[in-house]
Amino acid sequence: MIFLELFLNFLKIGFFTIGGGYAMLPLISDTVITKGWLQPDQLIDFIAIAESTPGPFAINVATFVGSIVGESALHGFGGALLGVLCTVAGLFIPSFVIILIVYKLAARLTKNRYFTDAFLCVRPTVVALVASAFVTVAMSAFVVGSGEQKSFSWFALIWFLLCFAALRIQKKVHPILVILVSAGAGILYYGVILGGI
Amino acid sequence: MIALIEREVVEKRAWLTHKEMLDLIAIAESTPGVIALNTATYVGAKLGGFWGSLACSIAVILPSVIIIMAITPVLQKFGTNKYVQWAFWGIRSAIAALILNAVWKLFRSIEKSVVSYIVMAVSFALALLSVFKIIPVDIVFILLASALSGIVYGFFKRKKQAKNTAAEPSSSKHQISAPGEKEADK
Repeated sequence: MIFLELFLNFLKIGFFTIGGGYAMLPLISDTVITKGWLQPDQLIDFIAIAESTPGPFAINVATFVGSIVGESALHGFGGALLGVLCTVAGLFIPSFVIILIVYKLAARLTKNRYFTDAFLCVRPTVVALVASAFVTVAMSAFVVGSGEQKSFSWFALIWFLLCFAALRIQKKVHPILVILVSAGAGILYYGVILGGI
Repeated sequence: MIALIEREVVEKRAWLTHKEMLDLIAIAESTPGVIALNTATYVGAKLGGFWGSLACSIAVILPSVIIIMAITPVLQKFGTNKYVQWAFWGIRSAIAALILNAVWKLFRSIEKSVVSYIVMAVSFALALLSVFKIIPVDIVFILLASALSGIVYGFFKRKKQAKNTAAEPSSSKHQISAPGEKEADK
């Protein structure tokens, strides 16, 4: 049953996501790509959408995966809605249960020796995992083309380096601005300069 | 997002004090779960117990669900459009840059020690084995193993600190009393 699988996998993602923003990306990309729910290209394009729409990144991604998978399993809006219900409930339950338990002993927990010690090594691991998610994304970001005709693009690599430099130099630049300029650059380069590929 | 919550919950509505907000950030970031949902559940629990938490969580989820469910069909319809494809090829480079930037910022926020660099390298190597489908290593396993090694590392670190403070109490006492002795010399 695909819906049960969606729910259980997002339950796992919810339970093992520690930290904000892209910290959940390694778990999401691992699950979603291994299960064949999304192609790597689809995932990257959706990260762009999730970045440029309001709402927490994690919930946006869960909604997207739920509606895509749900709709293809059970055609129509009902399938999409059921899929979303499964993925979002999966994300929501761990937060809800853990915080309600922790709420009473919150102050004590953050001072607990074992708890803080575990984080000494969990934080570096989270960095490493997000770095590995970057490798996954980079592998399909620099290879463009449709269908069978995919090839490495120097433009994609150089544009990536320019974006990264811009983000490092001008730290307050908004992600949406970088995404919009990149969309324009993509149309200009692949459409106009290369004449459409 | 934290800034927005702070303005709304602490400054405008006074549901939490500033100190409670700091505690909340520490808890939301260091317990499993999506930060936005953790925060909503916590604020809800403070204000209205179980039902408060449920209401706050649903309120955080709804806008995302409505917006994304409205966008997804449009995306699927125009996904094959040539201009949209070219735009997304450009955007993919930007997304890779945004993620690398996040890695950079995370890297700078962690403790600078040999142990954390080793843990990072080992975790990265294990994760890459999984990415390149050489050996399927579950990410959850990597996280649990690092939590366990953190506890072991903390145990030895504490033991060493205890040994050090036991070995040189006299020298540290000297340093503390040193300014006083100088005054006495005058």
